[in-house]
Amino acid sequence: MKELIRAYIQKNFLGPGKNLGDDDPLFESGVIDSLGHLKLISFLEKEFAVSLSMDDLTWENFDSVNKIIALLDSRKGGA
Amino acid sequence: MKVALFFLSALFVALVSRGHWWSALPYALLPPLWFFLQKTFSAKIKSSLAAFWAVVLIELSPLLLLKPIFSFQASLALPLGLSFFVFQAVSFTADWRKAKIKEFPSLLDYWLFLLFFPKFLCGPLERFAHFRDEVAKASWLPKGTRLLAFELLLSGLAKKFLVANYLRSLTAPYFDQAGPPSSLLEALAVTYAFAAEFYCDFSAYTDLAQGLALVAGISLVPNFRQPYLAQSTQDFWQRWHISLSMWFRDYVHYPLFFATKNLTFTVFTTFFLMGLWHGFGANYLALGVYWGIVMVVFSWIQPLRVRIASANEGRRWYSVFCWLLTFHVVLVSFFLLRDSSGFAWEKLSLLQPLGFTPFVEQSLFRLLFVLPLLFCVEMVRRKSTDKISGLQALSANKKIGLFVLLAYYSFILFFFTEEKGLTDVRFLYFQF
Repeated sequence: MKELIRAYIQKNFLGPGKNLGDDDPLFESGVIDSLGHLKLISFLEKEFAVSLSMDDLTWENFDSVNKIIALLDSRKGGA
Repeated sequence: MKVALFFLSALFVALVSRGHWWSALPYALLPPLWFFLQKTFSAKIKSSLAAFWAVVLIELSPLLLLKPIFSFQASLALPLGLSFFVFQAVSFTADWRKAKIKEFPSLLDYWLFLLFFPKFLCGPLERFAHFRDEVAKASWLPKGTRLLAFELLLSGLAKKFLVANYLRSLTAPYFDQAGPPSSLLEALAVTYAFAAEFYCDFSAYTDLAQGLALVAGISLVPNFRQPYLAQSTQDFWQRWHISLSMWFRDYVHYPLFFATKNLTFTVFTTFFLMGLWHGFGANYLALGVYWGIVMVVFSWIQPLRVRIASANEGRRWYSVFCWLLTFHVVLVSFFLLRDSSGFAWEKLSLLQPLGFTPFVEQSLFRLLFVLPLLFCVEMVRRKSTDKISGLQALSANKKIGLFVLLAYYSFILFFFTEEKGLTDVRFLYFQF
């Protein structure tokens, strides 16, 4: 799961071969913007069969690979 | 303080409505009506989506009803500031539903939020929670931000009266009068001039609004961040009319995405509506479709852009290429936005792409005349923050140089040119 998300962010936002740590900030550092945010959500919903809502849409929920994993886990656990 | 600001704002609305008193009616009648509606249904707005949408529709109705009528009736003018007034009312309701506003305000707080005179005509669009915090600590000419207020007012006046109005005298004949076919080069030159005019006009209004608000110690949200240096179209929308982009992002883009889960549809519709918000003329429809397509394509080719950017990281020519491409994509949209009469489109003849018309020679010369002033003003503004004036960061010699330059331009423009309308106080965005 973690590697899939990392590979998607590298391909779509960061650039191939660029290092991305599990806790590296994504929004604060400007890697992902608001359009990219929704693109990322589309990917996560399709890839991991979860449904995210407006209430999940805070930058804090998506600001690193680890935070995204935590969000997905909470959604899968809650489902 | 609040009462004084409210009366000043009411007086301002009365002044801008003089001669057509009926246009002040929405601002006198709707805020108390909306306030009591929201107060009555404050719990329901949070718990029921239907109630929330019903209130939002009621708030949007003046704009939805009046905008089409006024768009097709050239003899009528939409009440000044109506769009911004309605957008802020909608943002209040949405923020209340999302609990971003903790405590239901008083009628005075709500009314002042909608009518606060510096931002009343063209924004920036405020959010209630931020605005209320700012009003709570308002005081006349607080010591810490006096110089910043002065700098903003000076920068706004210089951009509007020394640059924008001067450029308007060049661009207006091309866009507002019929004439013989022109060349692609002429259209490009006049659109360059318009881009400078548009930025100076609109950012001047924002500077004046922020400067005036700071006189009362109120800091309004930023609206421009050197937009013509954007490296991509997405970057441009994070630098140009930021408060409107954020409004569309939070209250159209995000809700539409979560309602449809279709990113392409969401992106296209959001930018189409942003174009259509300007009016219902053919050029505004074209503007909406143009931005919709540009942003969808931008989103589709994102992985390719990232790959190319990554391969060319650190290469100056690539940054210049991205900047030039973005700027010219924006220029096309400005041409569409400005050409409401259709005259410029009619004049554009691709048969003579490089025709050196008298306009091209004159406008390039005149652009070279006014752009150094714009550059100086922007350099000062770049050094300023929310609280600190950019003037403070300049050395004494640079400050003297800047004032000499301003005096020089004022002197030349007012005494040696025959241009009309240099003291015109109307801003381009008033029409939207």
